[in-house]
Amino acid sequence: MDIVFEKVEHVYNARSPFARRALYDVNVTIADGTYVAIVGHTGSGKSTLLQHLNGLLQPTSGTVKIGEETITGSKRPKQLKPLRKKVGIVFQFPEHQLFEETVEKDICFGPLNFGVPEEEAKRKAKELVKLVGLNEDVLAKSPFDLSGGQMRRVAIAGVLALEPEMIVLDEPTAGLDPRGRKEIMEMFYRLHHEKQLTTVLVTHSMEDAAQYADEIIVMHEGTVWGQGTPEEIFRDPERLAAIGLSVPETVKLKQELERRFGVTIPSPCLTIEQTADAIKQLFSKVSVHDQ
Amino acid sequence: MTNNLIIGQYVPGHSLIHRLDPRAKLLIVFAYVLIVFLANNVVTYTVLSLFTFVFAALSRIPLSFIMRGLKPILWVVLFTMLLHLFMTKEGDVVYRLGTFSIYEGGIRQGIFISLRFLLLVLMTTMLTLTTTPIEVTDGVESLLGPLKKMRVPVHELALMMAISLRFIPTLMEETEKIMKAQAARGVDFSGGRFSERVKAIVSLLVPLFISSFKRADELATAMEARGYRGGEGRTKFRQLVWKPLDTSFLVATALLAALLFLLRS
Repeated sequence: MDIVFEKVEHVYNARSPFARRALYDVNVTIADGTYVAIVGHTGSGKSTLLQHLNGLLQPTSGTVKIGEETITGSKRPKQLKPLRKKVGIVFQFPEHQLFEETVEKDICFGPLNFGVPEEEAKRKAKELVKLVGLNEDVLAKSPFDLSGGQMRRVAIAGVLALEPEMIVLDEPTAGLDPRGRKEIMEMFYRLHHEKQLTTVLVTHSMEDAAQYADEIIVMHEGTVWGQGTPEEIFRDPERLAAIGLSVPETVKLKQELERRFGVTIPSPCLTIEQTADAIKQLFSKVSVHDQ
Repeated sequence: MTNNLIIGQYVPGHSLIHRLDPRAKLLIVFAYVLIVFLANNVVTYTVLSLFTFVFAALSRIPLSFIMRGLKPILWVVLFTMLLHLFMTKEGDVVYRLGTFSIYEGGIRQGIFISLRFLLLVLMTTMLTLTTTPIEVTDGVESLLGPLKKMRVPVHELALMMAISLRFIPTLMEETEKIMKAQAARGVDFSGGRFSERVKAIVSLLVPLFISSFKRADELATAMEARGYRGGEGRTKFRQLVWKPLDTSFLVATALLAALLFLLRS
């Protein structure tokens, strides 16, 4: 299921003194099965963009094509439910959406809304708590007795329970400790491959974008500033700095090494592993010189 | 939802009405609520409407915006109108349909009462559209000041008011956010069977309650951390200053009352 944005504009509170243009001239394509990261400053339009992905917001002008469905300013499919089942959104601080008496009921809530039989929903809930790294005995507990990190996982399980074809993550690790952060990011990466999902990650972490995404969309002041592979996007740190964004720490390290040693490092140094390899090569070169 | 409801929303500006002392605006609106009942014929209603529209025009808030905000209450107005149309049996019969008859007095009453209602809402909306919640509370606290001597907790009441006003937009935002999150999980807030609707509302209210309590707790802690301990000896950052402009508006309101009193039948 491809998603195509054509000249999308979105104005909040249109035709009122509070009118505020959040998006304009957005043309992007999110291809089926890719892992796309959306980065950008606070207020650059990331969150508005992602709410167009399952029809929560309608564009003020332009068109959004989601698979077969087309949503424009004046027209949207009568039934948004099938669309919402295909595109699961994990909002920022998803634990705020928990409300049921037990974890099991909360995870089953989505599937039951979409007409999944109760037995199957319960079976799925059991699978999912394990998948998100929780113990099976939390199922009977109240979600409000869990810790913040555990609540987050339950909420994520609640979205995964819809078995969407595409999953949209709005800063899924905000406010988590470093270990929880890594675990959750790794889990989504694993799911992306295992279930052949299309994944859209909105993040402030350039490291996460560099490490996991096939493609990065950079938003700036309501429109798309650039789209490309992590290698392409992080090639020019100065240009990114001009719009207030930085590059991953490893790319900064690479720059600094290049400056100090007066060499060019061919590797893009997007991950720790790539960077370690690049440094190893650098060492071997330097030691050859020394001899 | 947030697009339609403008009651309680502030529109920034520098118009004459915006610059009025909040105490003056509160007094004017309060007096107006009483004055409205003086009007009882065509002349007095015309004078009253004129005053109100001039007041609204002075605020420089686009009329279309105000009108859009009044839309949600239109059905109440319509209902009042119809009720009077059928229930008032005064004057000549204008129209007869079976057992129903519409009297001249009914039409008159219907128009007057719904006009009264519209004007009231318009005027009170003007207060909130042109005054920040903080100003309103400062105004209320200052006006109720004398009651402090009678041990009425004026400051606490004002604080409660300020906090609830302050959190209306926050709650609205929160509501929208949670509605979206639940909609993404397949909740249909606009339709469905009764039991489904109840479930939809529960899925919205529970998270809303929980976050409100949490927020209240955090707010209390934050206030204590910054040394808040009630109104005793507290000074104000924004001092209210009574200007000649405020007096003239109050006088205008008094004149309106006098005029209506003279012209009413």
